[in-house]
Amino acid sequence: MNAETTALVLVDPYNDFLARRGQAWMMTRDVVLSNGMIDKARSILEAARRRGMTVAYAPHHRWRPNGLKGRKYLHPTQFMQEKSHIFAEGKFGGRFIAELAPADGDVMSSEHLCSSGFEGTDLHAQLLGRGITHLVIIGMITNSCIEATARSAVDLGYHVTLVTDAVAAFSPNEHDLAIRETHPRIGHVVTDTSSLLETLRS
Amino acid sequence: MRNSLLNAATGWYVRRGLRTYHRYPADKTAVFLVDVQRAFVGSGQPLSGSLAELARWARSRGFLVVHAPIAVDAGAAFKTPAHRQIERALSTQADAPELASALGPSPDDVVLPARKTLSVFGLPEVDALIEARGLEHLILAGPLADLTVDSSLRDAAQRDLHTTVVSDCLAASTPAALELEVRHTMPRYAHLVTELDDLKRRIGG
Repeated sequence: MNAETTALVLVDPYNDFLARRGQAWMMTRDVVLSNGMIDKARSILEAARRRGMTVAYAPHHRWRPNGLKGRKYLHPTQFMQEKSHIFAEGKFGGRFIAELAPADGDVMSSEHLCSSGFEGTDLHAQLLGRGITHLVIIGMITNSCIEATARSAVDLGYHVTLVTDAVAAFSPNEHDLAIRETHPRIGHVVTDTSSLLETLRS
Repeated sequence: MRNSLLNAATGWYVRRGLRTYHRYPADKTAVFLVDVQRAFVGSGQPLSGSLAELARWARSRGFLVVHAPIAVDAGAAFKTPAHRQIERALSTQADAPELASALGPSPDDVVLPARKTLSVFGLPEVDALIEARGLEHLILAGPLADLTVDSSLRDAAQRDLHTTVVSDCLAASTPAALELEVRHTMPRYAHLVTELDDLKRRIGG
């Protein structure tokens, strides 16, 4: 893994998904806890920083008043965000969990409105500017924004690595199905945190 | 159990809230037949009949029918297993890349150039077509639900289009992959995931 051309992309590590006071914690906690997802994502983040890799954040749209004004057909996830105010800008839920917080020099993409960190954002331009060709994508949600970001990345020509236990979903069934059925088809490499850390150390 | 209940309750609430979107004016609606090619849809398969019925019904309603085929990306630097799966199917016989015979395009259909991306929106012609025709409602179907229909659906939702997926006009790499798409993943982005008979009932015809 070439540290100069590989970026670690963290998708939506929001308190609302990952903190015990988070709005969606009731739905995410089963997979997050059984995977040990937060500690594993943190260990990957720390290893990537030690290697000098680019670290990029791909945040979901934060709820704000009239933030989706002008959209004619809110999709189901947007509809729920408008009702629940999940990831509210300036509030606890709309901040990244401390364990996975960004550092100076990290790439901070503009927010994505649907599910892919690339669609309608400046993530691709920022990564291109750094000569990135390979991505390791971790964060939330396994079959939602993680998968969508991977799908876009593949269509944009990146080499994509997905990490089975540094992601989580709204239910164990969805997570397991996505890890077993979808990720191995749309990702170039599917690995776990332990193997990835060995690769990063070598 | 708790997750299932929360998911079900949320799904019900969302479906109820999005009901008002489900209007399909003929001049703003298109059926996208994604990768309905001989490589993926055999003439004797039930899916072939379902897709043909969807196309017939769409034309009778005055909806635009768009054929969006996929091609091998020989120059891709990094090929995924999905690309290799598609490539294998497209190379089984000389006519494998052609549109499935039961769906043979009608004169008013649009046949897009074959693309190399998973999402149909990888082709600039798709955005141009949507803008030129003033399309707002996309009905999606195809044999590669977990590979290409999913990617296309997400990109359509991103573009503020009203999206419908016809669940009995889909197939996937495995039954489990199809279950994941139809029951869990697509309902998070599609405004409506339903069977063709239900769609006909809602729209008429």
